[in-house]
Parts: sequence; C-alpha cells; structure tokens
Amino acid sequence: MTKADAVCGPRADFRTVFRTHYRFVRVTLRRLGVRENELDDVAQDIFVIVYRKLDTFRSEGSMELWLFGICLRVASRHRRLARHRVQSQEEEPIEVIDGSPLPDDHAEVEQARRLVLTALDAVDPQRRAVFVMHDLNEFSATEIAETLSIPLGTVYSRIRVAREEFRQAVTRLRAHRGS
Amino acid sequence: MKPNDSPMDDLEPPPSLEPELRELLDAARRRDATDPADEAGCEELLARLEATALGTPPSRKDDVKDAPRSTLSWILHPVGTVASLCLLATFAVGTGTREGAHDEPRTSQSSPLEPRSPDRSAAPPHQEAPEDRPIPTHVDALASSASSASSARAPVQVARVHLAPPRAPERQMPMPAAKSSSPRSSDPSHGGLAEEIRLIESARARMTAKDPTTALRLVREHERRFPDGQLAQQREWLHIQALDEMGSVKEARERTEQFRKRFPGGLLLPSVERTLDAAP
Repeated sequence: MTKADAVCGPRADFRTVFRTHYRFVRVTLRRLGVRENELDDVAQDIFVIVYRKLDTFRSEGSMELWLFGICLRVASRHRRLARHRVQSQEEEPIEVIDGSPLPDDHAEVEQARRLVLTALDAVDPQRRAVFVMHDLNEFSATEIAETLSIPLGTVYSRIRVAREEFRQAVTRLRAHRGS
Repeated sequence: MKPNDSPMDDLEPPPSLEPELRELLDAARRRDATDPADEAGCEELLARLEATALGTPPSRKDDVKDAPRSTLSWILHPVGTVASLCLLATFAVGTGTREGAHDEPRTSQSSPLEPRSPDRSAAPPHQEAPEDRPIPTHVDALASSASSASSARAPVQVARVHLAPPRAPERQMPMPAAKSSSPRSSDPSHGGLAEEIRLIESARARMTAKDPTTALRLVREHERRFPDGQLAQQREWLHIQALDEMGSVKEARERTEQFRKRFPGGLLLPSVERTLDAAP
C-alpha cells in the first residue's frame, strides 16, 4: 500500500463515520458535561482522534461504544483543563431552567433536556458517565463494565447511586423553578 | 455530602428506572435527536477538519515547499546559512542540556515521519480517578494531541496526525471479547465495517444520482450481509428514501414503523419521519 493509499483510504471511510456519528458525538459530549460553547472545539478534537484511530477500530465491536470511550476520555481531560472555569461555575447559583423561547413543540423537550443536563451536573463524574451510558445511551451493563474496565457489580452500584443523585437534583431544580 | 459508591458492589442489576424519570430522559433524548444545532455545523466542521487536520499532504517535501518563502530565502542566503548553523548548534546544545531534566513534548524537533513513541503524558497517572483510567478504546495516546489541537491547531502537529506510521501492535488494545456477540456487530468474514461503508456510501451516491433502483439493490445487499451491522440505521433510512422515491409509499410507511420499533431512541428517527412527512 502506498502512502497515498494509507491517507486516502481511511479518509473516505472517515467521512461516512463523521457524517453518521456527528450528532451522536455532540449529544454524548453534552451529556458528559461539555458546555454548549465548547462543543465544536471538543467535537473537533474527537474527530481528529477518530481519524487517526479509525483503522484500529474492530468492526466486530460497537462503533458507538468505541466513540463513547473516546468522548469520555477527551471530555474528562477537557474538564480537568477547564477546572478553574468549572470551579467558578460551581460558585454560581443553580441555573434556572428556562431560556430562550422555542416553537411550542420543541419547548417542552428542550426544557426537559435542560433539566436533565443541569441535574447531571450534580452527579459525581464517575457515576455520571455510567448513568449516561446506561440510562441515556442505553449501553448494556456488560458493555459498560468492559469499556470502563470495572467490575459489573461496580457498574450496578454506580447506576443505583447515580440515579439517586440525579433524582435528588431533579427534585431540587423543580422546586427551584417552582419558587 | 454526596453519596459514595457502596463499599460492596451490587450483585443484582438495578431495577428499571421509575416512570417519571424515564419520561424525563425520553423527552431529553427526543430533543437530542431533533436539535438542529447538532446537524447544522456538520459539513462545516468536516470541511474545517479536512482543510486543517486531515488535509495535509503526505509528502514532507510539500511541507517545505509550502513554508513561508521569506523564511526559506533567508535561510538559503549565505549570511543566513551561517546564522542558521549557529542557531542550530545553540539549539542542539540547549536540547542536550535539557534532556532528562524535563519530560516535555518536543514538538518542534519531532519529525512528522518519525514513529510516535508511546505518549506517556497522555496516559493517566495511577492516582487519577477511575474514569480516567485507560479505556480499551485505543484512545490513551491521543488525548494529548487532541487537547493540543484545541489550544493550538498548529499545522506541524496536525501533519503528525496522519503521517505517523501505524502504532506498534502492543499498543493496540483489543476490543472486549464479548463485543463479538453484540447484536450491532458486523460479520468480519464479510469484510466488516469497510464493506458496510462501501455499500452504504454507494447506495447514498445512487440516491443522489436519482437512481433509487440501484440504491435499493445496494441496501438490500447490505441488509442481507449485515442485518445488524454498524450502519443498520443508515441503511434503513436509505431504504425508506428509495422506496419513497420509487413511489412505494405504503411499503415505505411500513418500513418506517419497523424503524420506529427497532430504533425507538435512534438519532435518525426524526430524519426518517421527515422523509415520510414529505411523501404525498
């Protein structure tokens, strides 16, 4: 294989993977706590990695799970690099769950998404990842355990505790909105 | 105080999510599936990636040729040559003294063609949180380049991205064995993902060329060979579009209903439904 083939071959596949999974990556990053104004940059980082690593992806595996692993790692690193920003945000009062007006059919689901994303911020990051994988992205507990290299029992316990944290945050946010 | 993981891991799977939370998460997912913001910048970002990160030519000579003319001409000037040699010597001495003192990445000295050694700076230290442990998704050596890419998307670094030779086999962590039984898997004996992509891209191209008959033949071939493939959703969407284009609206509607049942939270569901909404 020539060097040109090595570059052009994966590129053709990359475009399909990019177009097919662009939304998935953005949605996943958002669920993992990447802020809206940083999504483009972080998504770009993800796809640079995807481009480099596409030939190492094993087709018998799940592309979404593979991508999720990359998203998780980059989002985690991004969070550490932006820690000072996160800390300053933590000092701010809880975000009120309403925002710019939307068409009626979108307003309700947008409200729900904002509530979910804000509540997710109250969940411990490790548990948040497991909760997102299981209850939002619907990966199986076995897939999660293998991807995160943790025992299945740990996955179960993290889901359980994360749900409790999430539930409490939702209750708190709804009360805040109602007041 | 935030609750922690139980000292003892759970032995039983967690129960189903209570209906109220399930409803909330479903609504959030519906928004995720329809938010135009998650579609709008797709082609723009792809173009940006191709123009920068992915678009650097493979030849190193081209890199030199494309370097700023003023710098090159200064270096090639006799006076410049002497000065350059002095600078290089100074630089080499400086590098020698720094070696071992720091473990910083030396991007300015790395040739894009030299093999990438395992990037230990990208690997998380042992004391990091478990979520930062290496994930068996081959991403451990990459995050550093990614984070650099966001802070400074320098062309030189980007050139390393795709000129670097394939990683040594020992760096390629295997996907978990259980994945082979995943219902979404492609059958490697049939060519795997590359073949899936070829079929789907060909079908998409035929649809663009207003040739739904051939597109339908291609998606049916994909369905036969990869019934639960990675690109099953894309295949179904193309299938519905082809049927719709050929006037088989009833069949397209049935197929849409099947899609809805099979991929209830599928990110392509809104697009699929829009296809039929536009049908007579």
